[in-house]
Amino acid sequence: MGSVNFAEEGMTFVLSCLKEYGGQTCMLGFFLAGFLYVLLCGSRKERYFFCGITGFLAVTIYNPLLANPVIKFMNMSAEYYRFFWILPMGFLTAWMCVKMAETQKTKGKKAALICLLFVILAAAGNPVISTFADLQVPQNKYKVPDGLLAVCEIIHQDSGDNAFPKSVFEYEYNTYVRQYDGNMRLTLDRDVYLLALGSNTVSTRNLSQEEVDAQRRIIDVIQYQNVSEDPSVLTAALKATQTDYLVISKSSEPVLAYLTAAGCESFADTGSHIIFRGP
Amino acid sequence: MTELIVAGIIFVFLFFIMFCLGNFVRLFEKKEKYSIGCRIVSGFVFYFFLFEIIAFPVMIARQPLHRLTMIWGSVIAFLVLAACVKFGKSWWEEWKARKLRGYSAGFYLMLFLIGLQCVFAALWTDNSPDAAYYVANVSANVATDTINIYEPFTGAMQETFYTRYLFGLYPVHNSVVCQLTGVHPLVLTKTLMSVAAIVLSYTVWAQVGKKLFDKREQVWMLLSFLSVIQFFFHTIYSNASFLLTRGYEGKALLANVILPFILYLGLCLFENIKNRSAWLLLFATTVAGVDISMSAMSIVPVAASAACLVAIIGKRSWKSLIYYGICMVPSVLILAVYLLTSKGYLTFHI
Repeated sequence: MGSVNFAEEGMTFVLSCLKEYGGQTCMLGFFLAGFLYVLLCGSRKERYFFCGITGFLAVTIYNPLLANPVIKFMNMSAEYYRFFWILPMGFLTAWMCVKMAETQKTKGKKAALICLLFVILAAAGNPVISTFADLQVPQNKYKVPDGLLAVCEIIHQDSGDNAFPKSVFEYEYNTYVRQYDGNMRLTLDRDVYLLALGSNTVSTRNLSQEEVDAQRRIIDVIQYQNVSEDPSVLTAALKATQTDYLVISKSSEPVLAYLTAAGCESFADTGSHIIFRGP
Repeated sequence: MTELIVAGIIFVFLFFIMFCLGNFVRLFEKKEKYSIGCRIVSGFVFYFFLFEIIAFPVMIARQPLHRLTMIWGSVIAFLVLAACVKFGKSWWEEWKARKLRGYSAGFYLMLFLIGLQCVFAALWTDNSPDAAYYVANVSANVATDTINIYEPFTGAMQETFYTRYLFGLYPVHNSVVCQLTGVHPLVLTKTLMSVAAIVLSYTVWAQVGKKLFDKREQVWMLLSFLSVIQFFFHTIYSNASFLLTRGYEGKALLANVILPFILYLGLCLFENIKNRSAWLLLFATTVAGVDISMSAMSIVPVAASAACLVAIIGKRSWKSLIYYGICMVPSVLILAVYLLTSKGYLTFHI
């Protein structure tokens, strides 16, 4: 878990993960309340389903004495939270709501209680979107920016017989482009880019230090607009990575000029981006 | 627009395939009554169980994607045909015997809330770094007609198969469907399969609900409450977040379909510890889960152990420990191969 460090937390790691998992919602509290209710008043089947399974997990995978060595051996501190998916937290809360609603005998009172429970669940939770503006109709059926479609088309038209051109994109397009176009090779590895952006949950896997350094030089220019070094440094990095094209936002004016100085030739303008041929 | 219509047809057809495969469960436990929902989810598990068994050796043998597509298409066509021949008459009799009954406001509210989630998932635009692997993997396989040979992040050719995702062939399945149908990987993964994940998830929870409640009305109410909770249990780590915003990932199916299904099988075993179809499905789930997401490698055995051992202890049916042991065999084997590969003792070269 990004914000919970296994080495630092030690025996409290599991509890810290559970708190992070519950986040800013009251789901943990509802789950515990439901657990206690079932334990005291539930049928045998309900006690098996909600309490028996939870109890088993509590003494095994959620038990720090057992869990910590397993986490360490499997190197899964970043993925440990996924064990909480086994707990039917949302389902138990919903089950409790049904039990409460069923205590009302008249339809009117039942409907009123159901509405109240809906409000409580909403108020005690954290919505998946903060405002309706966060949910926008995608620009196209691929759910990628329209500009990306245009960029890919232009590059493939220009690349001729080269069916797999290699390109540099800024972060957003770099993440999207191969999902849309499997023929587009990329200079910048996702994890090298994420590391450059400050991530601590990825690694560079089997890439050599030279490959990582060349990519970092390019990211330094296009992401951080670091144009203080001699353009020949960027030229060398682009040649070492065998980059065919670069796609840069028109708003990055210092970068555009720097790329030209590095020997890149701009040949297309999509309105939002300039496409360069590599040196 | 045409592609979206084709995607809609694929959606219906995928569920029909799962329904057909799920009918074979009836052969193992004739006394049990299986609802349509139960058959669909059982078929979903069998579908990915079979896919893992077929696709993994094809991948390791470095065969082109179209070969796997031909094999898989033939296998599914045969099984669907066999299901239609074997069960077609009983489907017709079930259809004739169905009771025409009205549905209450609770039912329509449930449908509305689930529909709202489907619309949300269909419209939601996610550009998380994980999509740069999972979806790009599908696109890379389709573009190059290969299976996991080219690295999804950059398109460079790999020297060995990526250990972290060695058995996780859900993206390969999506590649096969894209190649068979011509639908773009982004349309299939981020729209079709995201919506399918939601429908499957509620189908599983409905089966659990039917085990815990006597009346249909209570199950509709349960799913309505669960729908509201799913919208408001957003913590980036929660299963609800994965279901609504990252439904294209295998992890969303693992958290919201596979794991609840294991708990459902636990309930079936608690009711009847000798239920053969439940044991069989549990065995298949340990393989299908890993096919869908490599995280299942460790999580599914834990969930299955919790569901089975508590039921066995509750029923004092110690002989059932044998069935439990057999169900754990695939997980142990997969984990062993994974550990040997990640520690460098075993390598799958390309």
